[in-house]
Amino acid sequence: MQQRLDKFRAQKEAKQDAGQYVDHRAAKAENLAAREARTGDSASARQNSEAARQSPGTGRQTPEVGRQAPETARQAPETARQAPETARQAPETARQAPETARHDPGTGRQAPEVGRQNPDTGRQPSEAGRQPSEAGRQNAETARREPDGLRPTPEFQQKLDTFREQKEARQDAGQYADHRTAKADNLNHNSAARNESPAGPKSEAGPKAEAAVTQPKQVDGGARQERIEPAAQPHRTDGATAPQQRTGDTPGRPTEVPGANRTSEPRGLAPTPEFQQKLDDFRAQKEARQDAGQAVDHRDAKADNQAARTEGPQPRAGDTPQRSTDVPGANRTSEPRGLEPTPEFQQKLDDFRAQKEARQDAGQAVDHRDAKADNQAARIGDAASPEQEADRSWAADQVTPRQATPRSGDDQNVPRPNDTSREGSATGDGENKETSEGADGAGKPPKGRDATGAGSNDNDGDGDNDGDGDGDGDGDGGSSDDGGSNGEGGAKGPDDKYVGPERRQGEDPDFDPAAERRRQPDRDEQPRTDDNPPRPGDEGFDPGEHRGELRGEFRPGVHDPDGLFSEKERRIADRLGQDDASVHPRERDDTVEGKKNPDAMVRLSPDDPGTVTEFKTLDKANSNTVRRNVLEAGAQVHPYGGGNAVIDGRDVNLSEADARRGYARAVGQAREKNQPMPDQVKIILGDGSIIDFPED
Amino acid sequence: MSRSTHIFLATDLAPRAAADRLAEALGTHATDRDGDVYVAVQLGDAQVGGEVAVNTYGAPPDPEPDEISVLDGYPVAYEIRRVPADEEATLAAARQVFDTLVERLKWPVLLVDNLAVLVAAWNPAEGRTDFPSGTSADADDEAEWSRYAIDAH
Repeated sequence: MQQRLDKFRAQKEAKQDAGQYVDHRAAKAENLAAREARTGDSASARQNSEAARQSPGTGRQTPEVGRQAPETARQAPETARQAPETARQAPETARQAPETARHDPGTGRQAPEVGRQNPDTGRQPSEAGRQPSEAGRQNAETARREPDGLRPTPEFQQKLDTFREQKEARQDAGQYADHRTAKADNLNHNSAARNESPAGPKSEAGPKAEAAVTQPKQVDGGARQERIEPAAQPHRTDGATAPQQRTGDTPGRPTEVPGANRTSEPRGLAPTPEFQQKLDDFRAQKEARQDAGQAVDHRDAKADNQAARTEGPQPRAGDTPQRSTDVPGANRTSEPRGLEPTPEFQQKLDDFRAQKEARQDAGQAVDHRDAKADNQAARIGDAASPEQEADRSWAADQVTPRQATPRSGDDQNVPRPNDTSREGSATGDGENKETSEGADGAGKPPKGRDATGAGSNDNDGDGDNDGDGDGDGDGDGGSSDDGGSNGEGGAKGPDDKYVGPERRQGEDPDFDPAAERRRQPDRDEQPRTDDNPPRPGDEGFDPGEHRGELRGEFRPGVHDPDGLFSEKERRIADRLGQDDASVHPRERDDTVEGKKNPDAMVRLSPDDPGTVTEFKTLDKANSNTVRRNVLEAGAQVHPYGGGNAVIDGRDVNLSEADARRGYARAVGQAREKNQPMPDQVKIILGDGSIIDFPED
Repeated sequence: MSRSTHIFLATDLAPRAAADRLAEALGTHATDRDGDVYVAVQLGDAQVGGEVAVNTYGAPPDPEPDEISVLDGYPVAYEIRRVPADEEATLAAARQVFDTLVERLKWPVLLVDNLAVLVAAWNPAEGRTDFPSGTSADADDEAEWSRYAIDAH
């Protein structure tokens, strides 16, 4: 490489000697000298002279000069403004200095030539002539070779100045980056690295050689140390940053000189007016498009890419993951390239897809957010925090299709359309053959039934006696309407059109069983709270408050040892008991304002987990009263996930016609006004008979 | 709760706004819970009041002549419950609330027991009427309450 470089230089010099092309450096140096001569002892001249004087000409120190050359330009705004050539030449000098120093160390022979050939500049006869720096030598060399009198014409200089002003204005406006400083720094860094001795500091010229440039009055080692630091900095690849303030910068002078750090701009080249016009037009159009959002400003992206290349490969938008495209999320652009899913994640993904497809096949809506949350959790190692889990549950809740009529009382005990337990507990219309034989009167234990009958409390032993089999634990929330309306798709009015407030699986395209299960976690795994009440056999189980199959503890009749029922309520309970139902009063909870307090829990068989039931006693025997009470009962049991109602018309001698009409009117109104209805309604007529609604 | 007591109010205000006015008249405040609004006032050792909601106990859609009632033209229903619960005491407390509202709100108002029996009514034109025990709020006793009926059909 060095050999080739030497060869190139030799050829270049030969060409220059042969006049085959012009070395502008000489002309520029001359221009600079001329300007300095006009302006007197400029800072640049002082610095150049000082640098030349301080340089011992060993060659090893010259990199310091070269590195400080752009600094010189930055710290000499006056000079830079007055002699932009100086600023441009400074990095050039820096670039050439180390090379020259390496191959022609300490010659300094040309320096006197400068003085001889440019006696009128006032610069060359300075210290540079005695102890020439590499910059001085370069200037001298170029001055020697350059035909005297080559200077820019006033017109060219005017164009150049105009162009520079425009460019500086654009740079100030951040419209494009100036890479010259970075290049100069890189050059200096490389030069320093080449010349750095393992034995010590790069400069043996002492602090003067460095401090002379940036801190003329500071000559201690600290200054040198500060000046060395930039060379040790990583390469600046963006080139867009302004020169940084350094410790050694001369106080009181601006450290950022417009144009002073230019290193890459073609020296002396100015765009033609036509080109400049085209350039301006293009930029104006481009900016207009960018402002209008029609075009993309790639500059930031380029800078980012540059940084990324420096730091190593990074995932970028649009990168194609290294995996099958049929995997959900395979085209996620944010996933690092080359990352394969873990087997666990893949398994979860597959499971999810299977479930999703199943729901899709069933025509049910898909909750994309939940899936995304799961995927996200999987990506981070499936180590979701409780908060994240809660968020996921929340997300599932948010997208779980709600019923047409919101049920504020939805909880773990809410029977759901997919509860298979309904089949097991339903005996239909209160005809509980299993227990009817033991019923000989309200409140009395069944004949022949052992009060502590075998198998008592075993109903929670198998953990699944509700027959749901799916482990969701909500089967005991089923109501005694299981064999009635709900099990057959909802309450049907006389017009056979009404479907109860619960939309049923298969009928509701938005019903999501998975989401329902998430909303109703396995109660056996949950602490016994209001949302996860005790089951039969558990401590604290209250058959009036809590649902659950009583199995061997089931006794037809009314069980109200504390007299919680009012007189009218008791009459209704007794009537139900006559039909072998087990009726427990529900204790009122008046601690919560507005809380609905249905009157009883009614079970029709040992396997019936119980149904919250509202009792109503009519004061008038007309259909309006029946309708109103049915609707009011619906509102009462609604917060409990639904329930039944018993309307007692015995005191007013309610007719069957009014009962039927009233119920039918209630159904119609509920459908039209989206009001909740009881799942099943028993209306006790004046003669004591009961009509169950909806009817088969 | 086998029995209930309601005060029906004729106002153009939505239930939430009506609840505020009720609370103001009763010297209390309205409470929101689960999307519903409640107004309760302390009367003696009992808390009396309940949910303020749209009256859903009016006539059914396309009512037959015998299905009209005095409730039909009263858009807001104010449920009166009593804590501790006492059916007889609840009706007495409801009367007190009714009296207060008549005096301070000046809205046409009905006091109805168990969604069937018209207990009392008031409007600016007719003033207050305490109906005989057992007066039906339905067509059965239309002649009794027709002065307080507000055409809703």
